[in-house]
Amino acid sequence: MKTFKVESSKNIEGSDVAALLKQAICDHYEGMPVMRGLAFEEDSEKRFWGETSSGVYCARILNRAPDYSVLESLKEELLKFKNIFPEGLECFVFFPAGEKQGSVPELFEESSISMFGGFKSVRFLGFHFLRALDDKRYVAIEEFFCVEKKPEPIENPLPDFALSFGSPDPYGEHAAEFLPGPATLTRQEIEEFFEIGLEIKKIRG
Amino acid sequence: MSSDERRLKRGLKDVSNLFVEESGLDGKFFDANESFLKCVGVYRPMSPSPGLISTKIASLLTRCGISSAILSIGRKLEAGVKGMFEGPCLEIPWNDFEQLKRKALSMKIESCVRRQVLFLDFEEHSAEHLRSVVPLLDRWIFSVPPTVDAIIEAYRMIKGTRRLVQSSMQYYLVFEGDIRGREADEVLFEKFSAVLSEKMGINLVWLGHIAAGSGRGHFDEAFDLSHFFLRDAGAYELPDKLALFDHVKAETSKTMSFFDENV
Repeated sequence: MKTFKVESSKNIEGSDVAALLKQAICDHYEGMPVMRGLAFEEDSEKRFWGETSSGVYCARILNRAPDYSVLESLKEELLKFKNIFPEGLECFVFFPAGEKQGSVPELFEESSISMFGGFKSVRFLGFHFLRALDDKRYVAIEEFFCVEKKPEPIENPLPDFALSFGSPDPYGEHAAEFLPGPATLTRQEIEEFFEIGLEIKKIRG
Repeated sequence: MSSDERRLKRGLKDVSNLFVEESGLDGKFFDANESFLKCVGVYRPMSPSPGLISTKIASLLTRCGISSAILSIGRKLEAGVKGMFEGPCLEIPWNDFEQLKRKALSMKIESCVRRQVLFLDFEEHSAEHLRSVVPLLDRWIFSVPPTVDAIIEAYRMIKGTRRLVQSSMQYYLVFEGDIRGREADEVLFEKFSAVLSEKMGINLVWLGHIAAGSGRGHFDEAFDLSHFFLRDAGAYELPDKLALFDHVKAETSKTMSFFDENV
């Protein structure tokens, strides 16, 4: 669970909540650069959009905890975007996790996983308000449900020995222990040979 | 052809027909008063038999008038090497090789013109051998199959011995085996060359293909040994290298007059 301090002195409503939840998304991406100016743009349906180097995301704030019919309509809505973003869309669905919180976990069972299984990622995040002993107000966010498609691993064209054998790097931190002979590769060198391997594989078919 | 023109030749372009039928070098690479005294190593990380490439290149050099010999340091010569090379093939025990260094300190350096190439066969898996032999090398030929695994192995050795080599050392690449696809081989060489240049400031020189998989092997017709005669900027003759050449000369003079003083 993540907790965000509320800076505003007003009641926590509307755009204040949206701003906090956007902050939660930024934290999720751990400062990844936001690209192409799509960041946090809202559309007429009150979805807000952003893009990072890992792809496009879409967020929705529900005004009540979801039930099965809400999940169905969300699925329909997300399917519409699937064609627009063939590379995949990451979805955040926020809902107030107050008094009805008890029934929410039961909703996210196997059937829900299969319902959202075709998307790049779908997260359902409950939020609720707290008042701490110091009388400051906070919003707590908890992830209730997440379906995430793992990217297909790229076949490693490099041999295993490139990573596991050899003398210490003669130019690196082990320079003092230098023994002549085949040296280990740095991470950057491995990546460069990996790229070469992919290119050669492509040419040779 | 000037030396500058030769230096510009890189990549896999067929820039020379010197080795059509493996006999075309005319030997006009030097001025009359220019010496060429080189120690050459051959590294074949993916093959248990390093001798083949040495014997083939030594034979080519001999045909173009450069006296060549093969010297195995601290180990027995590979079986069959003597049968494949008509020139001197010698062995020197490790302790005798080490003794040569001491001898070199008191050696009188003669100023005669000599053109000789010595192929050094040594134990590349021994740190001690690498430490003693690699500083003597002027040319190091990496002979590998055209695969990423193989160039990684070549890269690892280059990186792991970079501190030992002379600044004038020249690295060469030979692809072994059948030519499967020129385009892929070209890309592989160019990319490998670029990595070496970027990471270590090394200008890798392409020699050509050799079909070494079976029998005695033969060179691709574009095999271009003219690069081998590039002038080494800032090169100087190490006393222990000269001592090594003197040792070979003394040994060979007992049986044959192969190492002429003046060519």
